[in-house]
Amino acid sequence: MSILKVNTIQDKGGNAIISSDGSGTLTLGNDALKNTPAFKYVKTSRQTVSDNTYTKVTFDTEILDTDSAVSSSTFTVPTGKGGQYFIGANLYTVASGVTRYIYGNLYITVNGTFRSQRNADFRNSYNTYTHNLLVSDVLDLSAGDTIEIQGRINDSTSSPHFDGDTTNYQTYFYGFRLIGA
Amino acid sequence: MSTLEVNNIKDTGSNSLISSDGSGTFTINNGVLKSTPYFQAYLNTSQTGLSDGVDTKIIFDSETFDADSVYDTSNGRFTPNQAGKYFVYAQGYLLGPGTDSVNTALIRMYKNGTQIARNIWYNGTEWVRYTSVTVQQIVDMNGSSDYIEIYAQQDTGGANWEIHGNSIASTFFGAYKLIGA
Repeated sequence: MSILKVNTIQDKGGNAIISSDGSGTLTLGNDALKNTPAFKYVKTSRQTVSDNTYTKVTFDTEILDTDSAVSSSTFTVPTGKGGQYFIGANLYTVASGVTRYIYGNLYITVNGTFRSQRNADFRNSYNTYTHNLLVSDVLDLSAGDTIEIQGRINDSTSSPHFDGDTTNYQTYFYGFRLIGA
Repeated sequence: MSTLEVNNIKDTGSNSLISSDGSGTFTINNGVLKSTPYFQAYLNTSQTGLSDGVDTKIIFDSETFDADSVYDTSNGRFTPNQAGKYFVYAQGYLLGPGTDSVNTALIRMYKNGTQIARNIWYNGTEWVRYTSVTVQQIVDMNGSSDYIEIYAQQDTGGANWEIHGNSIASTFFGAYKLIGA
């Protein structure tokens, strides 16, 4: 059995990989060992949208953003942080009134291209009003790739909206990188 | 290229961080490097006779895994014993009392008794027999007193409803820690 006792492990270039305080409290010095970037943003106010039109969902409140990688509701993979990411979003879609919700769609987009999808379709008898759509996926992303959330509601009468609030937390956007994947 | 061959890396306090059996089988010995604690539980026995429109805590009565004993099948609480950011998820398979008996179903995630996320399925004036609702979140936990619970509710127009349990885990609750987030 060979044992190395050391508090800091660095590569030959002097870059810290792992360090300990000598009592087992560990600090990770290399991002390859972390589930980061990690982020979570929520929507706290209503966003009125055009009927039956894909619209970027805006998230106005940051809860977590380890790498400051989200700007204006767009997550951009930072330099050197490519890899497999778990990405998810929950969107509360609301029609202009009861029995006006025909269908709703939620997409994760990568560089503007629709990827992962969640749908709710009531067009045969659209007697509903609101619907929560949740989508999540594992995506292979490269540095510079951008992730946005797009939603759409087909309303039988007028303008629908994406709802946000500070009590029910029904509209949010989140993600993190998988380690070693 | 510099190479150090060793089977066990400890800090100067003799706390093992990483070890190998010499054949490449690797063991991580420090929790900072692991997605632990993690657990997944499910509802095996249905919760029945539930009151219309009333939030009901789901007591997931069976565990798929829970190596760190962070989930309690007696009270439905996830109480992690390490501080950090956790990915938390749950799904409820909610069953009405009969055909065309349900028009609203929702699932809520509570932290320390306060709602932090919900997902609602609302079908207006249309009624169905059952639906599944899902919620996911990244949650900051203090590793001591913070706990997460899952609640569900249905609108059945007055009759009793149930949270359906079975051995294939249609109703489940799980979490794991994000590393370095």
